[in-house]
Formats: sequence, structure tokens, C-alpha cells
Amino acid sequence: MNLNLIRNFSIIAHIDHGKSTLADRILEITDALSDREMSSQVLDSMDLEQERGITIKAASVRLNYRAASGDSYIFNLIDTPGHVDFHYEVSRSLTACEGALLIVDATQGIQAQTLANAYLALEQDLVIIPVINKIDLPSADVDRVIAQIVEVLGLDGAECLAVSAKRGTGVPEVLEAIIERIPPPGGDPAASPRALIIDSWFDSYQGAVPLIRVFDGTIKKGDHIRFMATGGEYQVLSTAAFLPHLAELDSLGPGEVGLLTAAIREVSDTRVGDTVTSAASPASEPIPGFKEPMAMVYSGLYAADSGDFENLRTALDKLHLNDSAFTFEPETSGALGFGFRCGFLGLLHMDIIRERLEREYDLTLIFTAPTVVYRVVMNSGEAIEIDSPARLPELSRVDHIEEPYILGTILVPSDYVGPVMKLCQEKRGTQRTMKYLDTQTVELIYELPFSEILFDFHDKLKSVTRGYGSFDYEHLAFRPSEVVKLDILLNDQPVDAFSSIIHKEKAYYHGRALTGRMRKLIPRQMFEVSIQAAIGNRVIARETIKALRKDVTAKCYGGDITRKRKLLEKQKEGKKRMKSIGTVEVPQEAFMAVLEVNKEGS
Amino acid sequence: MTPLSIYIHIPFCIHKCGYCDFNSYALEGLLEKGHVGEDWAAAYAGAAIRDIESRASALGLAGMPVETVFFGGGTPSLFPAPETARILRSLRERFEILPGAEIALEANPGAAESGRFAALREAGVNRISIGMQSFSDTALRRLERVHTGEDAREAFRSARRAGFENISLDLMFGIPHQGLDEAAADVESAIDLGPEHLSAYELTIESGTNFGALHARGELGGLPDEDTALAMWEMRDRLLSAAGYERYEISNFARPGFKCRHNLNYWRRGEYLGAGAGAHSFIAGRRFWNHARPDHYIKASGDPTAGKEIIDSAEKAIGETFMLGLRLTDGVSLDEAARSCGADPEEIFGGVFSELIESGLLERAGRTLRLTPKGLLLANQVLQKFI
Ligand SMILES: Nc1nc2c(ncn2[C@@H]2O[C@H](COP(=O)(O)OP(=O)(O)OP(=O)(O)O)[C@@H](O)[C@H]2O)c(=O)[nH]1
Ligand code: SF4
Ligand SMILES: [Mg+2]
Repeated sequence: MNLNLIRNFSIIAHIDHGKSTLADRILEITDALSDREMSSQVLDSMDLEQERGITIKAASVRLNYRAASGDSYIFNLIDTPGHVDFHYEVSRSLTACEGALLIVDATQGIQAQTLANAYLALEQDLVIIPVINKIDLPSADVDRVIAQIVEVLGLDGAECLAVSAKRGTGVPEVLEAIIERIPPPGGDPAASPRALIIDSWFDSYQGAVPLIRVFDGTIKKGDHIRFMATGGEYQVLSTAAFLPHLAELDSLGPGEVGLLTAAIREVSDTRVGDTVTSAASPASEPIPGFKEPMAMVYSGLYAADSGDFENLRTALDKLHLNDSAFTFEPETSGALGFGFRCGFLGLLHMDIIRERLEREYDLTLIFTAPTVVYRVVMNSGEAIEIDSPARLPELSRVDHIEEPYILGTILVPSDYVGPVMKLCQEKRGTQRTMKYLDTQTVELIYELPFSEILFDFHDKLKSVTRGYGSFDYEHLAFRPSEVVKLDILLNDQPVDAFSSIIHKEKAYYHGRALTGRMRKLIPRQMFEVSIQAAIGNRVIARETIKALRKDVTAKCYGGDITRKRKLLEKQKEGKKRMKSIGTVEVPQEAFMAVLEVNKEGS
Repeated sequence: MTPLSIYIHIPFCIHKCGYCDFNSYALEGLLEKGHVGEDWAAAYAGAAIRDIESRASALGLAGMPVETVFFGGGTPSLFPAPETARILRSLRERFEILPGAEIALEANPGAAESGRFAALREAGVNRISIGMQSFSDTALRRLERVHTGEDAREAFRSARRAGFENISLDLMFGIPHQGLDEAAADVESAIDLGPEHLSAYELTIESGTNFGALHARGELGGLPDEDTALAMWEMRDRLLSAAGYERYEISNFARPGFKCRHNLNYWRRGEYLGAGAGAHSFIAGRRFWNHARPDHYIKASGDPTAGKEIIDSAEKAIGETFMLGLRLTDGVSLDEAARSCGADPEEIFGGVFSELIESGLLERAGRTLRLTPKGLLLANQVLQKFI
């Protein structure tokens, strides 16, 4: 394979700027799919991606492109997700590429993730092709966006391409620019093979399947390979690529992106970032890998029906095979029984896992309120990290508690700087810098407690900036903090699954809002239910749910027993989603009340 | 041989009431849309007769003794009496209608002239159930009923004049903007008429109705709060019991000897054959039902079946026995349930029984289980334990 005829690039952008739509147009132009197969956001192959209109997993596809020059090129295109939770997918995708298409929405201009993703590409020395998208929209302002790209990113304005990914305008020029500007991959076809694992997943027939980018040498069927970090050795059964349908290839040479199968048992044997080499004559140095993403948000996960515990474990095992970013370990709750403490990259990630478990494994689940990890420094000087409020040690043994901070980047039109600063202050943030990126756009950098931005920061930011503000963050460090444990008691019994850790100054408000919210969520029972919020022994809020006195279908005649049964079944079905805590039936939503309280308040 | 009950559904009404989720249609609308023609009554009666004929022969029911026949709706009194008589004649040809059988028909004021009652009496109908709902013209307007309070009284009187000695009234309470006093006045007016039987039920907001839609949009004002509604239930029970009516079901009251035998059969999980649009049957452990729309029903006659369900486990059968039977104040006899379902209820629901007894919703009287007064008001909470 002539390396000069290969181009590897990712499509990166802020969320919703049109990456997947541009990928659609490129697929069309290169005739990768028949008209009949073509749909919207084809690379978003998961049901969830299609339904939500977002990309969750990066998707790679190998395309044949006949250039204006008449030469036939191979493009390896990787469509990446825009949401912060899946930021790491962008960085690993970029490692496999020599260039990136940086899409910027012509109506919105540069947003926080545009910056973050552009920096990632620059750090890796990739060629960036700025592509201004959605020029078909009446509010598109191409000149302004070009000016921003020049001023903020320091790129050449003349290099900006303007397209409408939706209509296809300007897309052929993008393809030609890819050939002209993005360098072909380097690499020595004769050297000992070195390939980077950029993704891997589990297939019930093929086992663990790594997606690799070959840097040196060639990998083909029958080769004995070794994974340098894990030391595992296998014989290659096949090599293939997505065109976008899966198709076998004779071999994968330098610059090529594809997958290999080798009867590998577990995804953990094919660690993303590991280097694949030859078992017989291994390369001396691995390719610099990248950090595995780390779970940052934790929540307790329980089957509503405790008989489903084993099914839940099996489901988690299976799901984990394809999503190593998510972690789980058994935990026991006094209120909920046996379950798991699960770690997620963020709330979107958590929501996606929940939906997949319920949908693909038909489980009814209860998630407890998500929490960040706290670092507890004991009097002895020993420090422990806790991912659950229930694990907070006896306070008399605690010297102090630290909470995780993030470094947040907010881009906002200058008119909204005031409200944004006020919001950050409410969220206990400290400003690091503030600068004008151009005459209208201000970049604010804040240190903020992670727990404060977790729930509603993004929504609030959108509302105080009328949708113009955007936000991105990276994790910073633990900082000492005045936090307390807030307990919730149902009929005087503390319920561990409702406990939360919260900043002292917000506890009172939070306790009141939470009990109020729970009063609305917990249906009336056949006896009175009291809900109290307490810090230690001090009750700070109390609500009561009056006993249910009447629930009767007055009218029941006629022979349609089937329907009568269905109506009762429906009512009963609602109860299945509830968990008995003591004698109180608590709906799933009540466990997540914290989320909503955070949305309403502060 | 246990006698059979037969139900005939007549889906036609003058106007579709705002709260109604029965399988009923405004006749005028059906005519306008061309769903039925000018010969609607004859065509419908013909379809019902064919339905009965084919079911009777397919299920081997011909010649069976029949203890109750019920014309329900809709508004059966709107249906021409000669057509009703024709259906009854065909029933008599196919089954053995027992002497003393209850032959009931629902009537609505506004389609209840004395001439019709006399003809129905003539045809053999011996029980009339009148959909009165309220005596207050304002309340009736809110319910979108097509009659006044006086029409309702007149309907009752004409039924009596026509010779009916077993008359039931349907009464509703908890109507939007109705106070406790007004509800009590309705119950008293009903008592004054002296019916043999009374159904007095709280308005339920059903989805799929006008009221349901209004309610969902928060536009249905004036529904009683829980305290008022409970006071209405209490008032109803007190007044009717003082007037000599025995409460035998959650919403049904009767003078001694006048319980509705047809409905008792449903609540006791007896068998029945249903004919007419959307009618349900329960024969030999099978439930089946007809197409709901009258035009579909008429066209499909011969085989109007729209769906069926087999009750194939003793557990399900026993569950149904309690789901239905506990609505009756007499409750369910454990031995009878065991006999009819072929399994011991205590073996299947023993845990549920003790849980419900403990929470004061259910009580035991010898070998019978029945709802307590508290349980009657929380019946849905109880009944769902049996499915
Ligand atoms: N008018 C117009 N709409 C576009 C254009 N390109 C994309 N869109 C719309 O913008 C929305 C987001 O497009 P996607 O392609 O899903 O964006 P994305 O960048 O892949 O989004 P994530 O993967 O969630 O980050 C969709 O509703 C598209 O139809 C365009 O050129 N013009
Ligand atoms: S008269 Fe009866 S069946 Fe007809 S619409 Fe009114 S409530 Fe429904
Ligand atoms: Mg996308």
C-alpha cells in the first residue's frame, strides 16, 4: 500500500456543530453506502445515539476517494463525540490521525469544546482544517467565525472552509483539502510491527476485538502478535475495517486503521492505549499511549426486585466488556440491600448506562443520587477516598475533608459576563483569569468544586446566557472543604441510600428542598409518612405525607374483566418500580430527587 | 347445569357524555359518518342475532338454561322496542330462559317515553335500570347529559306506570362543583322515588374521555377534595342504609331480594355469553370479545371476535375470583373459590391474606374473606395484590 495515498483524520467539534452530519456527506460522496442504506448520522449506530441525536462512541470508517487529480485515496475517518463526558474518545481518536477537521457552527462560533478539542489536536501536532458549518442558516456569520478562528486559535483565515454539511455545499472542497493539507502517515512497512489500540469491544463470536492504528510494519492473518503492556500473545485470525460495513482485509500496513480478531477472551486483554507488536521480533519501544479515562461520578445501583441481583451482576459484567470507563463493585445498603457502587465519567454517561441496562437487559433499576469522590484525611494523617456518603468515617476521627475541584473554561459573549460571574460565585468558584478572545467573546477560567457543576451548571449557564455560553472542564485536584453529611429519615429511620455530602452553607436549603421534593415524589401510603433531613442529630427540615384513605374504582360492571385486570396491573406495575424501605414504598425517582433539587435551587 | 347469563350490548346514545368511557357512540355521529345507515337498528339486531346463533352452536350452548339477560349500553332504551323484542325472541328459541329469569334493560331519561317501556314490558323485560345520575339540572349539564332532573323523575314514573316492579337508579356523586349538601339532596330525591335498587358511584375521571382530556390539562375544576369525597361516601352509606337499602357491593344497594343478579354473576366470576359490539364473554375458562365499533361489528357478523384470552392457571382463576368477588360486601368464600378454581386459595394467596388482614383491609368471617370498611375505600390497593 502506497502510504502517500492514505489520509487519517478525525472530525472534532463542540457538541452538535455537525460532525456526524458532515461524516454522512463524506460517506455519500465516496459512495460508501447505497442510497437505500443512507440515513441521518449513519455512524451513530447505537439506538441510543440515534434517539438522542448525539454521538457517544467514536466511530471509524475506511473510505475510498477518487481525488480531482484522478488518484484513488484511502481515507480513515473517525467521527468523535462532542459531549464533555466523552472527551477521552476524542484524544484517543486523534492519536490515530495526522489531521483533524475542526468543525465550527457558523451561527455559534467558537465554543468551549471547540477550544478544548483544538488544543488536543495542536498538542498532538496534528494539521487542523477549520471547517465552518451550517452556512445555510440565515443567522450564519462566516466572517465573524473566521475572525475568531484567526484570533483565538491562531490559524490562518485563508485556510477556513465554509460548508453546509446538511446540504453538502462545500464538502468536495473539504475532501480535496484533506489530501492537500493533511500529511500521509509515515512508518516503515518493513520494520517490526507497532500498532496502537485505539478502541476495543466485545463481540460474542469473535471475542475481544481491538481497533488499531498501525504505525510500523504490517499485521496480517496468521501472524503471532504480542500486546506489549499486558504481555498477552495471540495468533491473528483476521484483519478487517469498517467500510462502513465490516469487510476483511488481507493485512493492515503503516498508516492503516482497522481491527483484528485473534480469539481474545476479554476486553481487558486488549487495553486501549497498549501497543501491538510481533511476538517473534517485538519492537523495542511501545507507542506512547494515553491515560485511561477515570470514573468521576459514583452512584449506588440496585435492582428494584432484589431477586434480580445476579441478573444485574451479569448485565454489568457484559456492559463493562464494552465500556471500560465505567466501573462497579458490590456494596450493601441497609435500605436497598445488595447492589453495586458504580463509577461514571459524568451524568450523561450514567444516564446512558442506565438506559442500556434497562433496555438491553430488561432490568428495573434504582440509582441512588450521584456523588463525587471525597478525600477524607484522618486524625492519624491517613487519607482515604470515599465514593459514597455511607462510607464517611466517624467524624471524631476525621481531621478534615477534601473535595475535588475542576478547572472550568467558559466562553461567553461579553454582555453576559456579569451573570456568569455571579453564577460561578454561587457555585463557590474562584476566578483564575478572564480575557477577551475577540471583541465580543470572553473566556472565563474558574476553579470550581466538581460537585457544584455536576448537576445543573450547564443548564444554568445556558439560561443566564440565553444559550450563548458554553462550558468545558478538566479535573484539577482535591481541596479542603467544609462539607457535612446530610441524612434523610423516613418515619424516623435514617435511610443510607438518601444520604449526601454537601457544603455546610448549602445544607439547610438543600435539606428543605430535598424533603419537599420527596414529599411530592413518594406516593401516599396507607399510613402517614414523615420525611426529615438531619445533620448529625439536628433535624433541619421535616415534611409529612398524609395517609391514603381512598383508592377505589367506584364503577365496575360489565364483562370486560381483561381490562379491569389490566388497569390494576398497570397500577401494580408502577409499584414494581418502587422499593420498600421499612414499610414505605419509595419510587425510583425519589432516590434521584437530589438531581432535581439541584436543578430547582441555588 | 349452571345457568348462563347473557349480555347484549347496545352501543347507541343520543349524545356522548363528557365522562363516559363505555363503548358508546352518538347515533347522529354514526349516521353522519356513514358508519351506520337508516336501517341501523334492524341491521344491528340482525348482527346480534347471528352472533348469538353462531356462538351458541360453536360453543355447544344451545338449549342451556339462562337465568339473566341484560341489555346494556350505550342506551338500550333508544333502540326500537320491536328490535329488542326480536333479539329476545331469538334468545328464547335457542336457550331455555328460566321462569323468574332477570331480564334487565338500561334506559336513559330522554329516551324513555312510557310507550317504549310498555312495549319492553310486553316483550318480557322485567327490570329497568335508569341512568339518572343527578336531579340537579346544573349538575346534569356539567355531565353533558341530555336530560333534566324532571325528565329523570318522569322516566322513573313511566317505568312504574308501564308495570315495572324492579327498577334501579344510577346516581353519581363527586360531580364537578357539587357540594356535600347537593350530593345528599340527590340521594334523598332518589330514595323518595322508591326504587328497588340503587347504584351510587363516585365520578371517575377516565382517560380517553372529554373529562379526562380537560383534567389532564388542569381545566376540570370543582372536583371534590379527598375529605369532601370521603364525606360523600359516608353520607351515601348512611342515608341509603337508613332508608332500608343494603349495600352489597362497593357502589350498589338493594332492597331485600332485589340485588342485580346479572352483575352478581360477574362479581362471582360466573360464565356469560356477550353479544353486540365490544361485548365480552366468559365461557369454559376462555374470555373473548367482539369488535367494538358498531359498523365493524355489523360487517364482521358471523365471526365478530376481536380478541381472546385463556385463563389457563388455577392461580390466575383464583386471583380473578378475589379481584372480582371482594367488591361484594359478602366477600369470597374460600371453599367455593377452591371448588370452582380447583386449587386452594390459601396455598396461593395465604401470604397476601395475612398481610391484608394485618393492615386492617381484609377480615375473615368463618370461611369467608371480605373487605373491611377501610378496605372497601382502598379496594384498588387490595385487588391488585391478586393479579
Ligand atoms: N441547518 C443545518 N443544520 C445542520 C448542519 N449540519 C448539522 N446540522 C444539524 O445540527 C444538529 C447536530 O448535528 P450532528 O451532526 O449530530 O452534530 P454532532 O457534532 O455530530 O453532534 P455530537 O456528536 O452530539 O457532538 C443536527 O440537527 C443536524 O441536522 C448544516 O450544515 N446546516
Ligand atoms: S348515556 Fe351512558 S353510555 Fe351513553 S354516553 Fe352517556 S354515559 Fe355513556
Ligand atoms: Mg455526532
